Amino acid sequence: MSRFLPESHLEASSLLGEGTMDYWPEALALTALLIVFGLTAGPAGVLVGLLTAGVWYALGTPYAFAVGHVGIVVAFSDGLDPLTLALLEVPFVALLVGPLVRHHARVRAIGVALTVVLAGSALVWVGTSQLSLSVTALLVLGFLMIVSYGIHRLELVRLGLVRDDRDRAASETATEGRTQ
Amino acid sequence: MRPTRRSLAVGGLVVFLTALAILFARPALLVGAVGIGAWLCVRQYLFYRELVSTTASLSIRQTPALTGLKTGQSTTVTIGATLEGPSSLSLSIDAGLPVSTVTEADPTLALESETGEATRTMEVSWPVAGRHEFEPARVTASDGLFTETLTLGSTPTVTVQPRGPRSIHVGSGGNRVPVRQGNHPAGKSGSGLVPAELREYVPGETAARIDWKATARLVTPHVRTYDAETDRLTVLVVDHSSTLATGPDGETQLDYLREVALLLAESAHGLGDPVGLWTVDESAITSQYPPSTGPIKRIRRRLLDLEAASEGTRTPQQQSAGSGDPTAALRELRRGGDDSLTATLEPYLGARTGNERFETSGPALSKAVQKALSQQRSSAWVVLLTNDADPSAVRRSVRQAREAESDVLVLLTPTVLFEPGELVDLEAAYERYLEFEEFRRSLDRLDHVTALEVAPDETLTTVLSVGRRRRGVTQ
Repeated sequence: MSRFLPESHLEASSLLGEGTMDYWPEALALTALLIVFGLTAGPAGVLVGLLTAGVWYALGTPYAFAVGHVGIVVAFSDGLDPLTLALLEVPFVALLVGPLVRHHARVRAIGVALTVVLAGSALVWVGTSQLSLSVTALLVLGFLMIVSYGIHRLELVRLGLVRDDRDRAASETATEGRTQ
Repeated sequence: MRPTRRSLAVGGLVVFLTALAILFARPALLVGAVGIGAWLCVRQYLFYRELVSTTASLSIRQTPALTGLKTGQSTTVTIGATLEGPSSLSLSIDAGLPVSTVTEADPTLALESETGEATRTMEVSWPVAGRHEFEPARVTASDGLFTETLTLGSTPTVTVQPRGPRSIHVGSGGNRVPVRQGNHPAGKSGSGLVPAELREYVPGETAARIDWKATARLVTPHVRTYDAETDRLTVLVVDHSSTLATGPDGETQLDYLREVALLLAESAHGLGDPVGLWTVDESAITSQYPPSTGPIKRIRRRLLDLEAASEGTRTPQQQSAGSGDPTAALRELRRGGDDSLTATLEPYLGARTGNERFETSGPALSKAVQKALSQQRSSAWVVLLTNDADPSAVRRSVRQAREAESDVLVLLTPTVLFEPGELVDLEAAYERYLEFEEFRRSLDRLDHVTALEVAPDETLTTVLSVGRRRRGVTQ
């Protein structure tokens, strides 16, 4: 675990930085978040931004996303136009992409992140304008599950962990013959 | 790829935000769920990438110190892992020990990325005989959010042989002699199916014996004789006195003699010859099974149960303490009273009795021969299975058998080839073997007596190599 982050912080071991300075992308994203929230929602926005930054430090990016978006709903209780929402999402995307610069496969990882975010957001935008919110929500969940399952299958195929019936039968025969 | 509890919690967060979005009719929360979902998918993708590069640079070796063992033996198994490139995954490696092995050590090895190398040596025992192939090692990799288990590494094979005589030499002076026999000449003619000779009719013989076809062909009356078909009585006298306990566990002199005795009993039974068994220790005949052509199950069982007597002469009371004697066990059981255990075990033990002990005044071996032959009307083939510990007793036994006009086969185990550590000094061992050989030859020179040695093949070859070397130097 990084010396800078607490044990409770949620991050993949491959993305952990060694020192405080390694977390400059996240610091940049959180600063942007504070500024954007302050500009769009005033002092309440700054409060939400600070809360989001604190949750990020303590628990990690997914929980910061959850708290930040609940904060948006609270701060903009009267409604929110799509442009402001898009503006508010920029620092969140930066927070999502920021740690990936520390990984050797950063380009592909950033590509995956942006693809999922853009495709998901487009689905929300199109869904809410054409369908009901509950149907859109189901579509979004289905989309995320398909992407996740696709990566899982990719890993199985690449590492040769997929076994067809013929392999399975051969393996069982070998196991029987192994201790004779 | 399996999610950990931490990534499952993140998945739960996605569902929770989606539910909130529907509940409060706020699409902004759905966008937040998309962001969290994207975070999860990216971490999943990074785990996959990290795993691919880690497995490409990871090599695992499973190396048993010995690949050939006897049952119950232990050997060290070393599992080593080398990581050639950096990896941020935590790796734990489980050795793919065969299922039948037993180890008290933890077969799991943790590999730190900083060191790049780890080894663990564990003591593993092999209680089951057979050819055991290692499974590939199971590598569990995790980045804290996802885990995956894959199999990697070498799969060596260990062959475990059962304890007991493996390569038995039966022969004379190092040369193998077949001991299992097929049909054997009876040495006389009589009724049978195989024609022996055609001879002229002698007045006084019954006319029924005249071969009329031969008579017509040869003008004068002729009689055709046939080889007699008789059964050869086989008497096995097996010595299991304490001196026959010499040798490694499961490979004692008695174990070797037992194997040969079983072979001879099976062979004789296969030829339809009556087979009997007498077993003796230092001072008593411990069991007797008179010759019979019936099943040799009891003889087989007795031979398999046979254990070398403990040091010194044992009294019947001491004998009853032994675990291998069903008569004594039955006696003990009956003393215990009429309970359900007695009722259950009595028939089994009853079927195995017949091992009444008869104390003898002199050496039990010759007494057993005398007793065995006194009960027979015809001559027998006496097989003595003993060692060279008491040559005079063996000679006396052979004499007893010859006096009853029986053919004798003496199977002797040279004690020197079974003593632990005796082969450290090969020259001394060879000298002792020569003494044994002299004794064996002295028996073999007697009429109708064949004396053979029974020994472990490899040990005998090692000792005889001294003789070959000496002859080479002399020449």
